[in-house]
Formats: sequence, structure tokens, C-alpha cells
Amino acid sequence: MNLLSEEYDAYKSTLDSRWIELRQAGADFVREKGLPTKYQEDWHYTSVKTLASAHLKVATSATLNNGQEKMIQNELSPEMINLVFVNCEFNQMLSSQLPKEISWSDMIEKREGFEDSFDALNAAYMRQIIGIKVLKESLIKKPVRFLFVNLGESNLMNHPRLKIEVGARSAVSIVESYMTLSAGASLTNAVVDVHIGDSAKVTYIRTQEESLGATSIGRTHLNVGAHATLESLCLSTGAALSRHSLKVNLIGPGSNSEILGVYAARRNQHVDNTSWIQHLVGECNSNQLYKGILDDESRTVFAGTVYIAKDAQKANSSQLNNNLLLSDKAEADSKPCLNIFADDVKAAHGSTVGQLNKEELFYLQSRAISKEKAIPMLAFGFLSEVVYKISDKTLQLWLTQKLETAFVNIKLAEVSV
Amino acid sequence: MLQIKNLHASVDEKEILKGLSLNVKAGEVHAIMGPNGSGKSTLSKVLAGHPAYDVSSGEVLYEINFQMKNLLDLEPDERAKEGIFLAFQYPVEVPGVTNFTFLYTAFSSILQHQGSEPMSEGQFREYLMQKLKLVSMKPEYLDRPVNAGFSGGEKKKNEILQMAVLAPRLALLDETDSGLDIDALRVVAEGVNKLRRKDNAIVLVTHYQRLLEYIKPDFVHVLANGKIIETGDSSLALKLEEKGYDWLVN
Repeated sequence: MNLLSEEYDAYKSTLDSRWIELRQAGADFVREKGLPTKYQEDWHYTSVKTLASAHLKVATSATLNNGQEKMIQNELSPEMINLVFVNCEFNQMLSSQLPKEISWSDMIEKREGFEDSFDALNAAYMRQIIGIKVLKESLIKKPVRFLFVNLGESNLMNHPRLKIEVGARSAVSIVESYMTLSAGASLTNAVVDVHIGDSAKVTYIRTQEESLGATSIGRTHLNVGAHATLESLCLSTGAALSRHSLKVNLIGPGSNSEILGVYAARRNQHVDNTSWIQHLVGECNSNQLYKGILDDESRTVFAGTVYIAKDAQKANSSQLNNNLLLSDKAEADSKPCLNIFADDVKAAHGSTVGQLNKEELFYLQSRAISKEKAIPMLAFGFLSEVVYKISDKTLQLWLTQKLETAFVNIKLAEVSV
Repeated sequence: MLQIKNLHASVDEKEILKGLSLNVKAGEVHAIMGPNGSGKSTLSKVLAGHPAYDVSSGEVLYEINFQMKNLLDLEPDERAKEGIFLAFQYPVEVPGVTNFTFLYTAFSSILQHQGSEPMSEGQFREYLMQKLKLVSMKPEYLDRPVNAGFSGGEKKKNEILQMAVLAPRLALLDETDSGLDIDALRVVAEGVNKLRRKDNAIVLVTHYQRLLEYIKPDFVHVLANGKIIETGDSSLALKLEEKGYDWLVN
């Protein structure tokens, strides 16, 4: 692995000195531990061996050519406040103005530990902590979207790091998106922290649509304050290898969290969703639903842990993962897990891995819809059911379009049922 | 329009239909009655092409472009494109697919098969509004997932709505009256009556004579042990109501 080689020291010296301690801590962590291996429980189903032999280069400032600029512009939605980062550098020209209730903010971060080597690697390599604050008691009508573009050429790697603070009693939708502009091998390794203030209402959407040569790693921490409402949805349709780990920390009583995920995998894609929902205080509700479809020889992993601390009484939690296999060669691993230390809680969990429902298929066929049309319709319906749970209609529609795009690429017609 | 000759069919290797014959002409309404387990639902599933049912012998001929063709050669969607419609006894829930998308896709498939001009979504929505009235359904139904969370009555009404939209030549109604209260039954029956035309035919599968008070059949058949054992006019249904099936079966 070339990571953190001599090249790294040269690169580091060019960076902003504000986060020097954090960078050092990250580099030390990775040097000591190396990349995760399957012997670590959290990485049991996902191998990052290929990264070890890849010669990755850190992305530097880039000038966009017309074609690239057009591709990015096509991706932007006028219904959102777009903040575009190309190879982790803010692109003012493609970005919208921030409303007055939102401001850039210097985030100083000292970290006591890292979740894993990717978390640490991000600290070592990141250019800056992108910090955003949403003032308390503000209502932000348009979703705020962070679009991280990896130009993707010649083994580039990007390490976006984002920190968002939503003030108490505010309402905002945050969208975080990842795209790659070329098909070659690349690495995105993102770290995102969102703090949701007391009684705030936040919709958090993450879309990962990188190209099929990409490796996309991300970890998100959502800290949910007292009486806050969270709706989150993570959509994953891109990358050769993707892994998103989500930690939702319920740190104040009385909050409600809807934690959703959809994934569609094809060819040799590997999609890993690992999550920890942590009820650290009592009287919180969390409902988790992740659904995925798998075609060809793809493989998906859902590893979800719900942790309910000893004092988190009256917690109410559900966790469900459903997988739809559209090919005999696809494989879905699903590992829901409950860790409960309180005695007065409601917690349910489950998972399914199955094929298309034959009665549903016949029903559609009996209405003149051919198998070739019915299969993608049913598979699409299987996933869009999750998207319909997002109450913001603009985002719901936008996500539905994302799913439609993914389905154009999936050749479900060849499936035998 | 439909000729069934000596049809034998089985499910899970158990023979259910044991030499059933039936002729249906355009403009006719046939009621098929019979005790539980006699094969009534199997008949409609076989005609619609459910993959779980195997036909071991006999034939089913259906008129396509003025020629009698072997219906059993066609895939279920091809049969539907040729005008066969099955109103399900237990309509299937399809979460995540809205009624509108479902109906629009079905309708467009038929238009395409007929070589007709496609209809835009907007035009189709207007066309649907009239059809909704026929079964007293609100437009909101269109944006709900197909049958998901519908009551029994709503599901059956939805079947008749689909029938109205797709305008079949041969409609098979499989116990459409079961589980309906009297008001819903009337709505469903009125919907069916409005869809009766000279050039289409309806086969009603039912347990009870009640539905036939609303939809008057031209023929009533008694199906028992996989065969039609008696055929008569609508007075046969009344006789069955009074005497049960035992006098015929034994």
C-alpha cells in the first residue's frame, strides 16, 4: 500500500496547519493498524484488499473542462441550495449562495479515537473540515446539498470531511451526494458528522452514485438531540465497492428517528451498509428499514446493531432489512443485531432475503404487463416503498428519479423467475 | 368466443379439473356455481394462465382475429392483451407500485399490442376519472399503492375498475361477490352490468345465488368434481339456492 508513504509527507506540508494534530493522530492510527481486514468483526463481509495494492494519488486542485462542468451542472437541482466540491475543493461558480441562517464555520476538532482506519485515513488526508452551522430557530425551505465530485481520473482519492451543526428548533434538509466523473479506479473516503439540536427537525439524505470503477467508503455520525425529529435515507447504487457506516446517537430524550436505506446492486458490485443505532438516553423512538435489490453476481451486506443503554428506558426500536434477489448468483448477507441493557423497552428486528413474489408477478401479467416490464416494476416498487417514507415531497420525487436512473442501468429482463 | 373441450388440469400434481367442457359466445353471461373444492377457481386461473396450474389434456380455444386459437399457448400477459381479464378472488397487494402506474402500464401495453396511438399520462388520468365514478372510487386511490392497505371491498372494487379500464372481451370474475357487504355488492354488480356489451362475454364464478340477483346470467352451470354436471338458465340458480347441490351430485 502506498498510502502514507513519503509522498504523504510532501503532501501534508502543503496543507492548512489548523488540523495538524488531527492529521498526525490519523496518520499514526493508520500506520499502526493498517487497513481493516475480514478478521475484524465489523469488516467481516467486506474486503478492501484491492486498495492495498492500488497506487492511489491524492486529488489536487483541478480545472474543469466544459464536458465535466456540464456533467456537474446536469446533476444540480434548482430546487436545492447546491454546494459543489470538486476533488474536495469548493467550487464557487457551480454553487449557490447560502441563506442568511446558514453560515460556514471553522471547525476545530481534536479526536480521541477513530472508528476505524478509514476514519483515521480521512483525518490524515483531508484538506479541511467543511463546517456548516444552521442557526437556531430557522426554517430552511430548500434542501442544502453537498455534492462531492471525484474527477476519478488516474486513481485519484478524495477524503471529504464535513461537519454540520443544526441549531435547536430549526428545520432543515441536508443532502450529501457522491459522484465520479470518469470510469477508472478511484477512492472516496468521506467522514460526516451532523449534530441535530434539541427539538430540531432534520431530513438527512445520502446518495452514492459513483462510477463502477470507484471504491466509496463513508462514515456518518448523526447525533440526535432531545425531542428532535430525524428522517434519514441512504441510497447506494454506484461504485464497485461501497461501504457506508452510519452511527445514530440518540443523546437527548424524546426524539424520533426514521432511518432508511435503499440499495440496488448489479454486476460485481459489493454494497455494505453497517449501522449502529444507539439509544443512549430513554424515551426515544428509532425505526430502521433498509431494502435492497441484487442482480447478476452482486453482493450486499447489511449489518445493523441497535444498542439500548442501561438507562435508556422506554426506548422503542425497530429494525428491518429486506433483500430481493433477482439472480441465482447474487448474495445478500444480513445481520441484524440487538444489544439491550435496559429492561423496559420495545425492540423488534428482522431480515429477509428472497425472490420476487410470484403472485405479484402473475397479477401484473394478468393485466397485460409482460414479464420483462413487470419484473423491473416490482423491483422498483420494492425500493420505492422506502422512498415514500420521506415526507418532503420534493426530496421524495428527487429520490424516485435517482432510483429510476439506477433502474435504467439494471437489465432485469433476463431474470428467470 | 371460448371453447373448452374435455379440460384436465392439476395443481401440485393433484387433478382438479377432470374433463370440463364449456362454450361461451359473445354477448353471453355464464355463471359457474358449485360446492367448495369443485374446481371453480382452478378454471379461472387456468384460463388466465397462472403458472402453478398444469393442463394435462383437453384444449381451450379462444377467438383471436376471427380465428379460434389455442389459448394455452399464450403467456398470461398475451392473453390479457387479447382481451382476457381475471378479476381475482384475492386481489394481490403490490406495495410501492401506485394504482396509476399500474393501470397506465397495463392500458398502454394493450394499446401498443393493438397498434393504437399511445395515450399521454394526462389524457389517461382524465379517462380514468369517468371509470372511477363507475365504481364510486375517489381519485386519491390512483396515487395509492395497488391494493396495499385496501379493505376487502375496496380491493374488489379496484378489480372492477381495472376491468372497466382495460375493457376486456372475456371477463372471468372469480368469486367477486365474496366478502362484500350488500352496498359494495351493488356497486360491483352495477359496474359489471355497465360493462356488458354485445361483443363481450362474462363468466362469473360464484358460491351464492345472491350476485345473480344483480347480474342476470344467460346460463348457469354446476361444476362438481372437476366437471360441469348440469346446465340451465337463471332458474337453475334459484333451484340450487333452495335445494343445495346434493340432489345433483349424488
